[in-house]
Amino acid sequence: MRRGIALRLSALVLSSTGLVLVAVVAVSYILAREALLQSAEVNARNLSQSLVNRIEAVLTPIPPVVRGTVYALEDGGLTDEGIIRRQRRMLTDNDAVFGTSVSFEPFAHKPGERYFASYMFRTPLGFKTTHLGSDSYRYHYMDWYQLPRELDRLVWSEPYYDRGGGNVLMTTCAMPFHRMENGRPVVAGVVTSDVALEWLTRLVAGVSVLDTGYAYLISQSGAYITHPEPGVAFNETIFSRAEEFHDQQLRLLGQDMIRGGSRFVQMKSLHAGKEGFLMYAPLPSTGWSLAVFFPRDEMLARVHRQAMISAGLGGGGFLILALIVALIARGITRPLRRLTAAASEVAGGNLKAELPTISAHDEVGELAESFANMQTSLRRHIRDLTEATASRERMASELRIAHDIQMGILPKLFPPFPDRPEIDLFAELTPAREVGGDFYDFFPCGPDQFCFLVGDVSGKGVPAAFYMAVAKTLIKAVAESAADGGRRDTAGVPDPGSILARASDDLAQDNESCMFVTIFCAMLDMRTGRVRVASAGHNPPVLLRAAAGTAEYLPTHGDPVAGALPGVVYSTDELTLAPGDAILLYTDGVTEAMNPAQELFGEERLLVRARGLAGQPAQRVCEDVRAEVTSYAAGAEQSDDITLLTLRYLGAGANAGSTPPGETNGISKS
Amino acid sequence: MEFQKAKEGAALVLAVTGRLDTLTAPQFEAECAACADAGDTRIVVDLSGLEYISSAGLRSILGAAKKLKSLGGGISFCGLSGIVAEVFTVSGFVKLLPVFPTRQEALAKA
Amino acid sequence: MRMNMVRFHGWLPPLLTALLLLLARPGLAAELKSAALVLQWQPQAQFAGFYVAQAKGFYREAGVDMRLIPGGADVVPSRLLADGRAQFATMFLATGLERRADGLPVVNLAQLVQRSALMLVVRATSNIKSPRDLDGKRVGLWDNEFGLQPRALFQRLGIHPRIIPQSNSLQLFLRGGVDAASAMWYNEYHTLLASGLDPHDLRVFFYRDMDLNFPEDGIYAMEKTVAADPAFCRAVVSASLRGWRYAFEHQEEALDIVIARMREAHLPVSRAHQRFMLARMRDVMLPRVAGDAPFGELSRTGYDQVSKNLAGLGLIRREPPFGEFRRDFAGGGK
Repeated sequence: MRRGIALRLSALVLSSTGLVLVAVVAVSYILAREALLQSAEVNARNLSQSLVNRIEAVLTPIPPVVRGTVYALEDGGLTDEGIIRRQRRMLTDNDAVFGTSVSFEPFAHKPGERYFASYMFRTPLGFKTTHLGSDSYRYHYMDWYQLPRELDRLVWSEPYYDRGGGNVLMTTCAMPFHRMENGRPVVAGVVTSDVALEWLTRLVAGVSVLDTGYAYLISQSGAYITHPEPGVAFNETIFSRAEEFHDQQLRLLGQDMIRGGSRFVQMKSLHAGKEGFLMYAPLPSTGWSLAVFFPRDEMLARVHRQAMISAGLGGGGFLILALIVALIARGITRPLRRLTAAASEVAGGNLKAELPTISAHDEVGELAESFANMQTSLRRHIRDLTEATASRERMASELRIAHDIQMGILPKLFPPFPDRPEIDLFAELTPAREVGGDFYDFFPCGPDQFCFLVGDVSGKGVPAAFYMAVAKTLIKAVAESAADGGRRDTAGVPDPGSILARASDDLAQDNESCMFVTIFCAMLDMRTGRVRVASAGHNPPVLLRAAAGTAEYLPTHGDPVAGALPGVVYSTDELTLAPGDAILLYTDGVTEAMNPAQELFGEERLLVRARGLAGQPAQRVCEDVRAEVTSYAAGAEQSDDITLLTLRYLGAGANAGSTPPGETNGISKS
Repeated sequence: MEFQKAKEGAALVLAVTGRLDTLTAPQFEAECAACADAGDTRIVVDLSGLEYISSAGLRSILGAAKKLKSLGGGISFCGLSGIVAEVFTVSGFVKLLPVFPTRQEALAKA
Repeated sequence: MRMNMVRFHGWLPPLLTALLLLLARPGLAAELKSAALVLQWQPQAQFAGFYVAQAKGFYREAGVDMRLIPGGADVVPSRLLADGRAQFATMFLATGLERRADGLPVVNLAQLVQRSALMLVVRATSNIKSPRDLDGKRVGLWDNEFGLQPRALFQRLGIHPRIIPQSNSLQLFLRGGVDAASAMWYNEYHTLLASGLDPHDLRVFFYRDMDLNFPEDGIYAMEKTVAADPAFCRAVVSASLRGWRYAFEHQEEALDIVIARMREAHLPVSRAHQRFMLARMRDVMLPRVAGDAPFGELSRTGYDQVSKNLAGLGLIRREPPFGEFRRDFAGGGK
């Protein structure tokens, strides 16, 4: 399983949210718990104090009642009837008193009577009086009598189950009374008041503290008076229970309790079997101690519940959040996933892969849009590339065609006419990358005439090449037809001007593209060196005088280019070449060659260079000028064809090589 | 290459600056065609700002001239100087087309 | 019926065993001889051995259909022996001697408690550092057999404490009504501990450590009972001793048995208290060092100790001959 952005995003958001949630719940729980525990002690004190108060409210009135009887006995010495009346009043006045006795020391009531104890108690039928004391009931040695007697003060007995009085739980409040004997008070007996404690056990047992909390009461010697666990009250003391359960803390607590201590302590309840807090406080009148146990978990139940509620709410919120986050994350990443799938397809070469439609105006939407744009551009680019490649190939093929045409129709065999020693001719054409339309031609025209020319078609490429081919063919045809026309006499020698005029007229017809050609056409009389020249808008040729070592431009008449418009007349000039003299024809590719600084080669530079070449062989002239131009260009791209043609006249009697001119030139003989 | 047009009476003066070569020739031809389409068939081309003209430039001039002539108008040139004037001379265009030393003269004959 | 209930409460397996035995040996039930044993006091661990012997069927196995009579304030064992309501009784050695001296022909069949558990307790904070310091102090004493050792002690020391009759509670001591209280080591001493006093809060004086080691609980019967069926008496004694041995070896089980009896009698029950009591009973019953009287046997030393003191106190006019007073049914079958 891939761990996608959605999963990571969700995990990150949810884990941090979860942590925050847990922290919030935990902190609020702890704070609430602390607050509750702080208030718990106060509550516990209040609860136990109110219990103590309720118990005390019953017990506190008892001692004054007993004391009253004691004082009455001490003051007056009551008669038996008086004692009975007194007892009746005690029972009548105080509902809490179950029975009361006035018991005397041996022989103190009447001589000879060891026992005298008047006991009045409640029965369902009213008050009943009985006399206690016999050899089997020697009350003088019983706690209720002995304690106040020996301690000589008011005492509360340990609670006990009274067998005679209906087996009810009792405690006895007892106080000695005295009589004066030899000027000293001696104990004469004890007044008691029995208090039934059923209400007390009910009250304490009825204390409801949360669910499992409880209250209990221990006597001043640690005996349980009430305890929620059966078999504990009146069987165990807090100390025997501590011993049984090896609970030293309970023993220490018990010791503090019976000393009248009051504390709020943390402890584990043996009864409830759980941790909690014990609040205990003494009952001041009896010295008993009331203890209330608060189970910690139940005290904290509300806090727990609140924590559970907040945890539940938080958890629910968290789940909803998780759902939302998951949905959002998926919402965000679904288009991304689809985009990814589409991108993979595109990357695989399918440029037409369908892109997911994403309507969202967010980053993903922008991404999808950009992606769509990219796909479109890519497609267009691929198409353009395909087209450009095709177009370049076509262009290259056109260039090749034009080049082939151009180079195909140019005579390239030098020396061209080895049987004519009068002429030394060399021509070279360096085509530009895109064919410029230059051409040259030379051919004998009749027995003694030799026609040579250089042309430059306006425009480039295939059209220029074709136009060039047409122009060259046309001129040759015109020249040769003129020669064949029988005008062989001097006057009938083909006239370059008329040749150009004829050719121009032919070219100008149906010349929709407005192409034209500049031509310099020359006709040499090989016998005499006389040269007739005509120029159709062409650059003036250079005349190299061998004898003088000079070079000069042949003046032209500024006759227009050929083929531009019909009906143009070209004038013809004449000059004579001495043997060794040469004419250099060229096209503007020479003079307009540029160096890297875009400066033209220029006619002056050509003239200067040509001057040094006067009298030199034609090939040398061409090559040197060409070298000069190349060196001048210094690597700058050649933008136009460069054409050079040099004809050096060697004289009629010249002998070129071993071949006699007359034997090979059948034309000149004919 | 830049063009500046100014209406001078019945004629439109088109001042051309820069180079008129293989690259810019179509622009010139298109500019003339635009003028012609706008009804200005009599154009005086002021070449005093032209630095260079190639054979392609000459060809575009020739094309423009033919077009304007066919529309019953005409084209003339003025302000030739330097290499431009030389090219016009060498190529014989001064003989083929009406060329004047100044704009005023051209406008006068236009 | 009550016995069956007890058995069903916890001792069903022994009952079944007994039944099986009865079935296996028909006629055995007919051989059971009834007897009653009266104990000095209400059911508590002080008598664990007897209750265990009964509950575990040791008496039955010995051919005795034993009935245990709990003691109490109104129950005087020697009187029950005298009038025939019980054939056997437990008594302090001193009591037995006194009764014999008084003319009641009781004989000691076995001596269980060899070392006296009676003690005096004072608060550690009091200035009573030795028994001699008790002179003029208020001392809680029980009467009858429990009063013999104190009286012998005070006479010997020549001191005159103010005797306060001690009830069956320790409240007077706990509340400071007396300076010293009587206590049985196995009972009241623990009651003090269970009332919140720690051992270091108390100072104790064992009579046994003051040359007044009166052996206590023993098993007694009338001379005529012994004469009529010595084997029966021997069976009762050995089954009782067997019960004790079992109780010491199975303390918690013995406590269960005793506590069940206590509950039947509606007595307050503290298991911790009973456990302490049983442990102390073991301490005072079993021989601890070489020279101690064997388990269950009355030694001459113990007998003399008591009889001499009783005579010294003028409680008996003549010491019964040891051989007449004591029938050794606990020992090796002599």
